[in-house]
Amino acid sequence: MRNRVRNSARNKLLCGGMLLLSSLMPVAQVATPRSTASLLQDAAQAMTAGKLTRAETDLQTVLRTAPGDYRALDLLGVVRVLQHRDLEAEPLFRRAVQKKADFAPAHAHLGLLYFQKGRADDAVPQLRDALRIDSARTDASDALVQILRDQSKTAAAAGDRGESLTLLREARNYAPDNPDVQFEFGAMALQLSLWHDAIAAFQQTLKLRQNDPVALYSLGRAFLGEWKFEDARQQFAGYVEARPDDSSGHCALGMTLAALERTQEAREQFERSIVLAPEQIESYFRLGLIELNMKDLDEAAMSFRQVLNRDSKHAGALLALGRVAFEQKRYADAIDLLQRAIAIDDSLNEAHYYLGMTFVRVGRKEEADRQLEIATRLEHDEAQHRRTALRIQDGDGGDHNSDPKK
Amino acid sequence: MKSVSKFSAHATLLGMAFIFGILIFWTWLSFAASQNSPLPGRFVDVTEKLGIHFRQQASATSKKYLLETMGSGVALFDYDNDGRLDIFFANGARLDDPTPKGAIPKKDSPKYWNRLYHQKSDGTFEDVTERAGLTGFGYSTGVAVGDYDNDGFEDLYVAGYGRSTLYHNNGDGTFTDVTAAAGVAGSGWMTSAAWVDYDNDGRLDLVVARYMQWDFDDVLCGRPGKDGFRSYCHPDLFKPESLLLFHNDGGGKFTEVAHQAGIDKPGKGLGLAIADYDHDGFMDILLANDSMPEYLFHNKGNGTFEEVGLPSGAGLDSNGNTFAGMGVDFEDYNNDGWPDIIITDLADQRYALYTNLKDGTFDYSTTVTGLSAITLLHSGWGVRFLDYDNDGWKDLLIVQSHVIDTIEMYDPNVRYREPPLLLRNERGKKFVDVSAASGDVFHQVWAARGLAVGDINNDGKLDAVVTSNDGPAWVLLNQTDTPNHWITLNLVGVKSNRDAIGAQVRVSTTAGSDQFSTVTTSSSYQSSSDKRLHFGLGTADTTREIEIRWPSGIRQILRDQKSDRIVTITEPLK
Repeated sequence: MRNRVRNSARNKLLCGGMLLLSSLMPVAQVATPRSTASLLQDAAQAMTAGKLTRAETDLQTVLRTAPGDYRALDLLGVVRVLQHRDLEAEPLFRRAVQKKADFAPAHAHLGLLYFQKGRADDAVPQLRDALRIDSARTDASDALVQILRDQSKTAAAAGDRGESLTLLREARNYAPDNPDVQFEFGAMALQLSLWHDAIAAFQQTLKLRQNDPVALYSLGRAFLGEWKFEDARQQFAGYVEARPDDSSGHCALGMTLAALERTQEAREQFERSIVLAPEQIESYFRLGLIELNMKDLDEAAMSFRQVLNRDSKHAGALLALGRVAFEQKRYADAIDLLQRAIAIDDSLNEAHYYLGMTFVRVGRKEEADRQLEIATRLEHDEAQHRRTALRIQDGDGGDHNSDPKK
Repeated sequence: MKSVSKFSAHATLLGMAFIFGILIFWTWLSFAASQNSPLPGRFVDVTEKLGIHFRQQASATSKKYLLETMGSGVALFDYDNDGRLDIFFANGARLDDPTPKGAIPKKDSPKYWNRLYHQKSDGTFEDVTERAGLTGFGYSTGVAVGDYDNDGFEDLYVAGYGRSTLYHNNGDGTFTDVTAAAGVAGSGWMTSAAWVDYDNDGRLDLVVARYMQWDFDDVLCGRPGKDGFRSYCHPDLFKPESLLLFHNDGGGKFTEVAHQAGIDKPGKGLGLAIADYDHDGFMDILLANDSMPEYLFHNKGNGTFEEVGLPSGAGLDSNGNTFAGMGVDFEDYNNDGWPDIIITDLADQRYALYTNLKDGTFDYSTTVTGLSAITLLHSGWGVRFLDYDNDGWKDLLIVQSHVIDTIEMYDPNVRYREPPLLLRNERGKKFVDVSAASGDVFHQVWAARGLAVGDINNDGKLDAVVTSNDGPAWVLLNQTDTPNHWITLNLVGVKSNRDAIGAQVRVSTTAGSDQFSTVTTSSSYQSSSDKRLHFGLGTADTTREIEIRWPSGIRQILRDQKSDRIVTITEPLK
């Protein structure tokens, strides 16, 4: 894949030569036959016709009389690349850049050459310079975007998602109409819980690639993160329509319907999801939560046991089953289940809350006070965290202390 | 002949059976129809017609001071004992833009005055504010009605920012500011207040909720930048503040005893309600806190309280999360004899309904009663349980609006201005939203805040008065079309406080389940409702038994009271 990209970079160099040819045309029309301009014109035409020797002769002629002619240096560099004499091409491009720092083709060609040689770090500044001078150069932007996407993947694999997002943000600036770049940016923003950015990116993806099911699903997830449940529901409904046999789509749609208090419809989606993928956990868990909230305690317990049969360390299911036991006044069971949930994930404020309330019911006041104190502290921290995240999204670090979702 | 007669008898029996079958079928049809389409209410806006022209002045500034979005409350009470309810509106004050830190706003124009409207014999109202001496002081927030000196005339406590005011009712249509002598001016940002005789000594004490430690600082909240905008700040930015408890020492003097009474746990109090949730004979206090656990102060009966919100299960929602508690009511919605709790909050939080489990604990019942689905996207302030159709079950009236006037820029699914909500109680099991069919007022969007409830025209149907933030007030007359019977009890304490606040009443009929209620003027949001207890009796035209447990401990039973009237009951000597 990477070789194919690099070969295409070699072809782009030729295209660059053709671009140069077209830019020389007006000069040739007014110049004498053997002027520098006409020699450059002739060289460019020869190059595109595959007559590399003739092109080289023309360019050497120019350089003998004008050794610092950046256009000749650049074109000769292209000739060298086409002759597979890359080692000689690099100094030619570099000299062209030195002679005229704002000559975009030389920066682009040097960048493409580096890219072709696998020297991405050297290529990036040259390609950026080329695009700074001439933002319309698709040869440079295509290569740069490809490099940035590659680097983003590497950064993500190394666990540096912030860097990965930064690289994709730049790639998106150079290729705003590339749905793949938009999607990758959205996916990384989603991983970083930057819902606002993710939503914008997925919406752009869908503008460029209508009804893309994966983008629909991802947009739904981003809306869920922002608590925009109705918006999320619409995306997941679109996804389910496009992929009716995907259990995860039904599960996600069920989650949004449950959040919208459309309980019966949510239940149907979870049940459909379970039919499609009986071995899963999530839909059983969500179904159990609906039953728990509706006080169908026996039904809820059955659903949570289905989860625990598949994953005995599912903290959420242990917590929920603990809640069932609490509601049924089986306090010893509740304490056991809630303590097991906390042992797996001690950040579950809800588990501490119910454990505290259970201790109250059995007269263990000190332990109750301790658990309730932990529960309120965790809840407060979580609320603060959510507000901070919203603040960062909304104002790039500015003040935003009026979070409407208290 | 015998056989004919036998045949005839047989035919008659058949005919009777047929008719009986039709009757059963008809009854079933009627029942099914009533189950499918619950009786909506009919509330009519009669504000203009009655001569009410109040408009709350929030004094909005570019600084978006939080004070200017919290609104002011309303009281429904009979200040001149003519048997007709009058209306008192608390009002804001002038805020400068910017207002200097430490400033106490002033009512320097009549538009900022609090207003007292007297109900005339023809049912219309007249503004008697100046004559009554109630123009007010500072930025008024809440109002609480109670006869603190047991002289038979209702007094007024008007909570405010920086200073509150106690007005003694002189009994001649005028009031006197006795704040300084009584020692109840308080301090800080006071919101709701409640009169309650917490030590059952026969004198009403005063509880005053405070919101938080706040001043006119220029705190930038909202979205910064070129396209940014200011918003009201989140309460998390400010420190909590304890409530105040003024013990009535008699002789017009009060002593602030919150610390001694163990009730000074700092909160962010907005709504206050009282009830004896554990039937120990002492009134407990519920404080709706904004964005922190709700507080339930259990009265230990020895002059002190213990805060039990979290351990009782009434402090958080079912997921262990806090919410922005604002309005509150503390009444028995499922007719089991034990006070339950409703607390309004913001969109995406769902109004919290806690069912009393009769063992000192509560169950979060928002989802199972249908409130969750109904209130998901709503933000509520004033709230009251009231039986609008007199069927014997307390329904819910809630007035709504988000707190942030720019909320739609954050969340397009949420609205700043909202219509009120009327929820019908389906036999204590479910609440059904009947707003849409209950009158035009339920289709109007308001920035509502305060809500007081009472039978304004004494027709046996509970009416309501609503205030809005920086806007008008509305008087909503209940004209629900129902043949159901009712009875209203006006309790007069003798050994107990004269208002009988804290008296617990059970009403039974032959037609429906027993009903329970507690005499109080507090609850809702910064408002004070009619102290008279209203009971819908359904098809029963007589009560079987009315049992009153007075705060003094005296138990009184009245039998076979005729319905559809207001009955005054005086506390017996023993």
